[in-house]
Amino acid sequence: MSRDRKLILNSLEKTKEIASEIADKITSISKDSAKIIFLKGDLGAGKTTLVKEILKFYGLSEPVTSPTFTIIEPYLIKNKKIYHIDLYRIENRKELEVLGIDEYSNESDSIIFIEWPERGEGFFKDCDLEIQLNHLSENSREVIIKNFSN
Amino acid sequence: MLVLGIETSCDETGIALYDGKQNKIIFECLYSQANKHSLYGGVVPELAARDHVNKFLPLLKKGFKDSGLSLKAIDAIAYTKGPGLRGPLMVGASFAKSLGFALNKPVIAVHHMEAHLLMAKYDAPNLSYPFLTLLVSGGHTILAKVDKSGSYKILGQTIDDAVGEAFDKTAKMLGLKYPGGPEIEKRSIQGKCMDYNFPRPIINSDDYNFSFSGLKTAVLYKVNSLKKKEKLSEELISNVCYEFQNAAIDCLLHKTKKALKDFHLNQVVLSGGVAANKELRRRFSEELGIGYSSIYPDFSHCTDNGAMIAFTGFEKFNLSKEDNRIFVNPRWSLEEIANG
Repeated sequence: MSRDRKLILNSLEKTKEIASEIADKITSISKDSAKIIFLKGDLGAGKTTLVKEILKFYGLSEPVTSPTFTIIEPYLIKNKKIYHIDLYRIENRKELEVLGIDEYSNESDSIIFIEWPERGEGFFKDCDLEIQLNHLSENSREVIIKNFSN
Repeated sequence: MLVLGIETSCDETGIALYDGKQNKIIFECLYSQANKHSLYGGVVPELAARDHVNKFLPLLKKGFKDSGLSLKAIDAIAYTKGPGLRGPLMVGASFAKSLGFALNKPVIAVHHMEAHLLMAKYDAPNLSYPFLTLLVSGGHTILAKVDKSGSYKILGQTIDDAVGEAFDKTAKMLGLKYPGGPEIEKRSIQGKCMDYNFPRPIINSDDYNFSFSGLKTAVLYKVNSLKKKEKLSEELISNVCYEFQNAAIDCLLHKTKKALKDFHLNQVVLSGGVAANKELRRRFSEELGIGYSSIYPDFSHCTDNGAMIAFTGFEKFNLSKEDNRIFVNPRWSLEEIANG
């Protein structure tokens, strides 16, 4: 069973606040393999922006650029491996096998953020956290956080 | 001297043969949906995107067959060592190293971005150092100063989305086909100025960085509000394309002008997929100002290709020769070419 939490984001300050809350939540997950975070939501909903703020909270100083074209953007923050993956341009599961993406999820003590996880349905093991972002208006978003970890 | 170039950093599988002595590309092949029938003859296998393994041999065979040369005639093999996706890079590296081992020929590691910007030297032989370079593609938007071959200083880059991604996502919102860049360019020709007031994010910031995420979101809300009022006509789509393209080019042009002035440079080399955009080329040619010039690679060399790897491999021949170990560098910085 997941525990849902629903909030409204209407400013960068609020986004930073939620990002820090999510960052803490991820840290508290205890697991041998990679911690997997799904990010769902339409184009422009703010998925990459949220990942950017979470990584800033972990101490990243370099810019977080969109992985839409590069598919995987890896980061190393204080010896912790973080992978920011975007499946937007992925058309089928076979592609994920060709890319060797499963190698990343077997790494322990790493964190994997996956945007558009729907495009790789069934490929990834269950996620620990699912973040859904919905458009409300130009400057506000609804965010639903589902926690699947124990 | 013949150098075989192999490119597999992301989507494209590209192979080319370059003759350094004559400064001439003997052949270049790129796998695409369009040429797969000619590559495979009758039975075309269902290949996943980025399945470079199964695309290599037909490309290689076609290239050598068309040119009438033998594989044994090559003197060296150049491959993309990074940056890019680990899996696809490994495929290219393994292929290059195996071929080098089998033919007993040296293997040269090439930096993907360096290859993009050096390729302008092939297409525009009069280019002289130093120069500014603007690399604009789906995955990158980088402004760098080139002092000489191998010596690069990144002045600025995108802090969120690359400009090519903004083109593609705008096209997607308008229901245009993929890849969206050429579609936006085509539609813009019929478009007109509508005062949509699309933002030019961080255009006045005191650095050389870019940001396109906010422009993408502004287009999204404009499209949604237009849709509420009326059906998205061809005319409206063209107008949105026109306004978006103008905003994106304004950002690229403004920061390029600032860098040229601040670093006392008078020429800029554009490369990457977006550098194929004719309106971008027109505006850079007309608006940089007197005393400044813009240089472009051939249209066929803007997107990822094997020719730029072969050409750069020749340029680097005396600098970089590798042993038989296979390794890649997915996050190789342009500023650390020597330490790759």
